[in-house]
Amino acid sequence: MNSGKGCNGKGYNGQYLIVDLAQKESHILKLEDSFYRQFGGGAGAAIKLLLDGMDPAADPLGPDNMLVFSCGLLTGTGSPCSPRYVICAKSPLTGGMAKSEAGGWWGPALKSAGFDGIVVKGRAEHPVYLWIKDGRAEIRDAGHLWGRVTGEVQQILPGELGDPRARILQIGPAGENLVRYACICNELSHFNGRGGLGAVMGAKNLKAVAVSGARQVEVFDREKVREAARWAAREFKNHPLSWGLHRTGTAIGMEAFNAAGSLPTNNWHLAAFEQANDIGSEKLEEEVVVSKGGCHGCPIRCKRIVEGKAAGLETDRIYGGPEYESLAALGSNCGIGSLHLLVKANELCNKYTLDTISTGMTISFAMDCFERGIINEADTGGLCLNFGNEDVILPLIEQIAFRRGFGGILAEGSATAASVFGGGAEECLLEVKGQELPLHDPRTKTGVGLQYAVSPFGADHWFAQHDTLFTKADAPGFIGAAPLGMAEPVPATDLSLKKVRLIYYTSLLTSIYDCLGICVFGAVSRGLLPLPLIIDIVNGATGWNTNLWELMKVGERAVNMARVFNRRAGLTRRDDRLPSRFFTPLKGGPLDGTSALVPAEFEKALDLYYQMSGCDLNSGAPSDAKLSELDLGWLTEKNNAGE
Amino acid sequence: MGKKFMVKFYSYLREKYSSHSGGEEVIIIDNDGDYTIEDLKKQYDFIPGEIGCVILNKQMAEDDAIIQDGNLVEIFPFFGGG
Repeated sequence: MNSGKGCNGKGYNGQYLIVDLAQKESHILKLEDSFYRQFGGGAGAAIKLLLDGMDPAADPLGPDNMLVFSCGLLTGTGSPCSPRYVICAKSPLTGGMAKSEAGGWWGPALKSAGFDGIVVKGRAEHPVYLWIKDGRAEIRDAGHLWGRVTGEVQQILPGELGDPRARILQIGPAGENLVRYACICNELSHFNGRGGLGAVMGAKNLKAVAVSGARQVEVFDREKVREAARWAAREFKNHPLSWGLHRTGTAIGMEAFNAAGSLPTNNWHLAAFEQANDIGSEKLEEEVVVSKGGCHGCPIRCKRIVEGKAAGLETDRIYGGPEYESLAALGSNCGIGSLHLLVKANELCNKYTLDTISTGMTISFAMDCFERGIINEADTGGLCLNFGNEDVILPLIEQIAFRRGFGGILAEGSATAASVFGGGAEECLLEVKGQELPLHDPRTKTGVGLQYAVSPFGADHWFAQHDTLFTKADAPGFIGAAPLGMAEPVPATDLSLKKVRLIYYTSLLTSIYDCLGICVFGAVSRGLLPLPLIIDIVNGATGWNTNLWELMKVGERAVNMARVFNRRAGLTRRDDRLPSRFFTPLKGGPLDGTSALVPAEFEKALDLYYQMSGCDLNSGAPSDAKLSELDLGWLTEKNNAGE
Repeated sequence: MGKKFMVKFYSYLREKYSSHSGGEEVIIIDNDGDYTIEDLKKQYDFIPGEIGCVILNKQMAEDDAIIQDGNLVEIFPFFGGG
C-alpha cells in the first residue's frame, strides 16, 4: 500500500470512542494511518470493528451485540457532499449485518469533537444518553427522556447540556419498544433508516448521543478541499441529476415511476396508481413544502421541509418532510392517495423513529393478507385493512410504535408476521433477508433486483447504482463511471453479464462512498462529483497519494467483511433471493403484462455475480483466495471454521 | 398537411422548456415526413441525462417512436433512485 508523503493523521482523528454501557466506562481506541488506508472509515471501519469485537451469532437485541457509529473518512473535512456517517450492528430484522447511512450535521460534529466514531458495547441498567464534547465523553441518566418523542428530546437536550450547538442523535418510542425496523434519527430529519438499528440502540437502553465539537478537522491541503467545495457549489446547477434533486427532491419519483409503469401499488400487485399525481412532488410543493433542507457541506439541498395544515392532520416542520420512498411505501403501496394523511404518517414515523419503508411495506403486506382473507377483523382488532382505507394508517403506526394490539405482530417485521399469520401469508411478502423492499421495481431495473438479492444488508436500493443511469452513452451517469471500465451502455432490463458487471463494479463504488462519507446523491453516477475529483479530495484531505484502484479495494473489503459476518451469523446463498412476485408480469400502467423476470436467467446472473466477486457459489461467502487478495487473511481461518 | 400534437412537461422541465405555466406546448410540424421522439428531443436540445421517461399516448415511447397528428407526448425528468 502506498504510504504517500508520510502525512499521517490528516482528515481523520485516529481514534474511536469505546463505550461499555454495562461497566459504565469509556476509553479511546487509537488507530494507525494504515487502518484508514485499508478500511477507509465509515462502513469499512465499522464492520472491521464489529468483526474484531463481537460474535456474529450474538442475539441482536442482547448485550453482546455491538453498535458502531462511524464517520466517513471525508466527513467533517469540508469536502463537498460528504456529510455521512454509518451505523452498523447485527440487525434484529435480517439476522445479518445492518448498515445504514445518514447525512445532516451529527457526523461532522462528532468528527469535530475529536472522534471518528463510537463503539457501544453492553447494555445499560437504566436508560442513559451519551454526551460527547471536545474529546470528552460522559454517560448520563436518560430516565427523564425515555418515552418521549424525538421532537421533545431535541428541545430538551441542548438546553440541559448548556450547549445550543449540541447535535442530537436519538431514538423515539419505536426504538425503545424494540420494533425490529426502528430507525435512528439526528436533528429530527436525518435517518439511519434501515436494518432496525433503532431497536439495537433501544435494547442497550441508549436513548441519545449528543455531540459538540469546536475543533476544525485537520486536513493536509485545506485549499484543495475548499476549491472542490467551491466547484461543487458552482457546478451542481449545471448537472441535470443534481439540479433535479435540488428542484424537486426525491418525490418526483412518484410521478416519474407512475408514468413509467413501475410504481409499487397495493403491495406491488399493480405498477400504476390512479392518485399518484395527488401525492407526488408537484402537489407536495404546492400544498405543504415550506422550504428546502440539506446537509453539511452539500450544495444540492435535496430535502423538503413540510408543514401540513389540514384539519386534524397538522404537522410540524421540525420533522422535515417525506421522501419518495416514504410516499410510495405508505402511499401508493397501501393504496393511499391523500397527501396530507401521508405527510402526517411520515411525521409520526419520524417522531417515533420508525423506518418509513419497512413500516409502509409491513402495513401493505398486512393489507394484502386481509384482502386475501388470510387475516380478518378478529385478528386486526377490528381494523379493516383494505387497500386505500385511510382510517387505518395512523392507528397502525401508533400500534406498531408502541407494540399495542395487532401492531405488536407487525412490529416484528413482515416476515415474522407472515409466519404468525400462516395460511399462505408468505405469498404476500416482499422482503429479502427479512428486510422489506425499497420502492424500486426489479422488473424495470433488473440490476436493482440483483442488488436487492446480493446485498449483505438485506434489500437495499443503494448497495449499487441504478440501471437507468447507464442506459445511454451520453448520460452523465454513464460518462462519469467511465473510469470503472464500463465500455458500453446497458439497457435497464438487460440481465446479461454486462449488467452483472455493472452491478458488481458499482457495488464497490457505492461501498467506497459509504467508507468515505460521500452521499450517493452527490457523486457519480447519481450526482455531480466525478471520480477523479473524489480521488483529489481524498488526497487533499489526507495527504495520501491514493488512486481509484486502492479505493475500490477499500470498498471491496467492506462488502466482503460484511459477507463474512453474515456467513458466521448463519446466512447463506439461500438468503440471496428475490420475492416470487417479480417473476410475474407487471400489472397496470404502460408496461402492463410485460417485464416478468425469468427465474433461470436471474439464477444465472447470481452465479455470475458470485464468480465475479470471488465468492463461493454455494455459500455466497468470499473464498479464501478473495479474502487473501484483499489482505483479509485474518478472516480466512475463522471463515472456514464456520463452514 | 403536417401534424399538430401536444407536449406536456412535468416538474422542473416545465419552467425550463415551456412558456406556459401548465407545461403544455402545442407543436406544429409542417412537413409530412416521420417525426420521432428523437426529433423532438433534438428540437428542445435537452441536456443529456435530463430526461427520464417519455410517454406517447399513455404508452412508453422509445426514441424511434413516431409521433402522429393529435398525439400527446408527456416528458418527465430523470429519476434514478432515492
